[in-house]
Amino acid sequence: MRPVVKIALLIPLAVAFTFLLKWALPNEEENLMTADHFWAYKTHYQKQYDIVFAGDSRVYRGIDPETIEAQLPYTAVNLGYSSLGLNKAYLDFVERKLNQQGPRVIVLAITPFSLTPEALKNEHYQGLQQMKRTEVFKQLYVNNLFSFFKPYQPESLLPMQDSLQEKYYETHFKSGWIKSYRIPHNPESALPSYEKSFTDNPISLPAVKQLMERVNAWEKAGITVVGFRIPSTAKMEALENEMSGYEETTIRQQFEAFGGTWLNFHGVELNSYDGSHLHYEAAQELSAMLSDSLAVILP
Amino acid sequence: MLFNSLEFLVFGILFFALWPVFNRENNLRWGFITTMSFIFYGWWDWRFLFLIVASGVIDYTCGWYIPKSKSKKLLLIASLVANLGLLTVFKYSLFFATMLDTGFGYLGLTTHLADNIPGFTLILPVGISFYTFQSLSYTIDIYRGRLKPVSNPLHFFSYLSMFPQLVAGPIIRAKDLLQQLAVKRKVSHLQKWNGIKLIVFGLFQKMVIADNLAFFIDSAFQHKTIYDGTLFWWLAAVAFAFQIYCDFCGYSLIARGLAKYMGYHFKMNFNHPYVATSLRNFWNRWHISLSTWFRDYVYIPLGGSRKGMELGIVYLWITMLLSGLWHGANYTFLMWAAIHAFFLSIERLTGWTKLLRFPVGTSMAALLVFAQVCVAWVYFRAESVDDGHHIVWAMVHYVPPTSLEFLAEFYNSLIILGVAIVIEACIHLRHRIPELQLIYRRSHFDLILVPLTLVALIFFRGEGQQFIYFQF
Repeated sequence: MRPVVKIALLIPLAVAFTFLLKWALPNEEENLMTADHFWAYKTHYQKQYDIVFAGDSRVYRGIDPETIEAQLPYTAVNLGYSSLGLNKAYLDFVERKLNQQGPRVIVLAITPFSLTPEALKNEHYQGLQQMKRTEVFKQLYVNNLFSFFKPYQPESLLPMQDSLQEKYYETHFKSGWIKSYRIPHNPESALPSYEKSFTDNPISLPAVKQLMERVNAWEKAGITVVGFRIPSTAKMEALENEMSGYEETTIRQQFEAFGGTWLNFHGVELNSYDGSHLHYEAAQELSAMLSDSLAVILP
Repeated sequence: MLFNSLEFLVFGILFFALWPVFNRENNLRWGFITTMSFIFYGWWDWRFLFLIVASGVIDYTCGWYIPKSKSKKLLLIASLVANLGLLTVFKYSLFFATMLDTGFGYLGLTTHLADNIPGFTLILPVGISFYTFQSLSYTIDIYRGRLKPVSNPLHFFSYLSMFPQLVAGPIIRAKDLLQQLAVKRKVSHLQKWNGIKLIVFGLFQKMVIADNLAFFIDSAFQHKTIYDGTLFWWLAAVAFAFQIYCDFCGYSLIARGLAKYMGYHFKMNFNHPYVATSLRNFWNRWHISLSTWFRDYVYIPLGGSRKGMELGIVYLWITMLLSGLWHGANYTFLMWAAIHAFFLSIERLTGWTKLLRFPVGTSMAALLVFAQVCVAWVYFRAESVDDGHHIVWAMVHYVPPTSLEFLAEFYNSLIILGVAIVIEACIHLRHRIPELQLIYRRSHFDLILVPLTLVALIFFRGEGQQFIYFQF
């Protein structure tokens, strides 16, 4: 066959194989948006809200702003990032996301890890902030047009045996929430990695002080600041208390002394699939509890 | 600009749409290649274009005057000092400053050279090691009388900056490309088809194999997981061996394919290195353009193997360590190079691979060589030399696995690793069994294989990563 014929047939054959592949492979759950678009939107889309939730992966997996918006007459967004540290750059970003009018509420989920030196490097958040403008434009406005070409995981060709099956199921929402669960359900699986994370990495007292000063400054500027420790399993809480140097009572007292309002979820048992992050049903349960509490605080 | 990006797709379409227009006349062609290549490079950071221009102006000028001048050596030294000086400033300042600080520290003196290094030198210009070596080959070959200088600077710059190989090789020698650039080359449909094949296969290697392996390898080597043990680290090392191979070989294939589509021929840069039956054979198959560069411009000028076994081994060590340093200003690269030099020395002294020249023996030799290469790769990828020691220790002494859950957690990466090994095995078999090669050619199997690969790279691509060799 002549090469010119091969060149001419390349695209028609590729199109035919594409439709064959789409027909043959199982349909995965349709995501509302891709992960890349999700993070670009969260970080770079210029929109402001009445209520802003801030914190690490426990926040972006554990708080569903849409549940809160359904119960309160305000707009809300989840600004959680992976391994997040509550440092100045991030807190500035959180403040910029607040509406200039309206109730202006910042809800800080203060986890022990978010106050450690390792977390304060904020690699995930910084990486997204430093995205090139062309890349941001591409992620926000171009890439989603190509959702037909969303890649498959190699396992869709060669599924794992059920006994070995392990998978993270995630759906990304514009509100900043990632609806997630994991198979198998193992509320102890995250414990070893947290143990490793806190080794030689206890919470930083200057970071706590800086956070409290910021709470105070926000309160003085008329922003309602709410803090809480996001519920996880009892074992995780015990590990964090023991290894990180996090004393909830002291943090709560300081937080309140600097003008913030602390929500106490101590003893609340919610379903976590790995011991750290909440199953999506538990996330919606927590979100409902948060909106009840906010309804009392807000006018 | 990355080959696996939307920007490059637009750039490529634009380039090849305009190519027939500009390919008619020499100055137009050279000017077009140079301009487009500068746009390609400047997309990353236009401020560093001056380095290519500076390097090019110096070498063009030195090259021009070397044949006419009485002080040829002086001009060559000027070229070497300028090129290697720029490379040292931008690539090695911090490394050498830290070494000096540590050295002075041992003598009881406190210095802060590393803290006082100008900020701009901390940015590593993409591809600096590649174009510097390319540019150097021009002046050295003129000095040796193997090449005549070109009169037109555009001709020279179109060679030096040609975008397909500008940022990550292959390192094309001036004598191989300048002549090709000197005339208008007609491109046949067969060349175009072969070019397309190389581009598609290269993108597959990069986007499907290398990018899908990245998650497993990054998690392992950056200690983002809790897993440990002999099996885990061997799998991680083998996965990295295939990741770096597919990443870099993929880039070289794309570069060769783009050049072929323009009508130019770049020599093969990788020739299935993991089937090598000796480490020497491995270096004839791995990053061929760099290993032959070091052979021709460092090892042989030093004396090569002409001055006896012992001196040959000393030159081998010098060459390998320089090659390690070329890869990066880090002790991990030096360690990687030292391991290769060590195993190469043993191979040369004992000739153990020659004892295995029987059917099963060659497979055993290939396996042993691959194991040596994997151990060396650990240091190449490790975060530090100590980290490398820890991993290699786990590989060479039986350490029971902390958990086998990693097989499930990294299942996708492991499937891809399996696919990579099967593909390499199939290609190897096809090359070894002439009948298979014949069937492959006669059946026009590539008519199906190329569009299938194209679909696979669209639907099974991993998360986009920068090419590993950009950092060198």
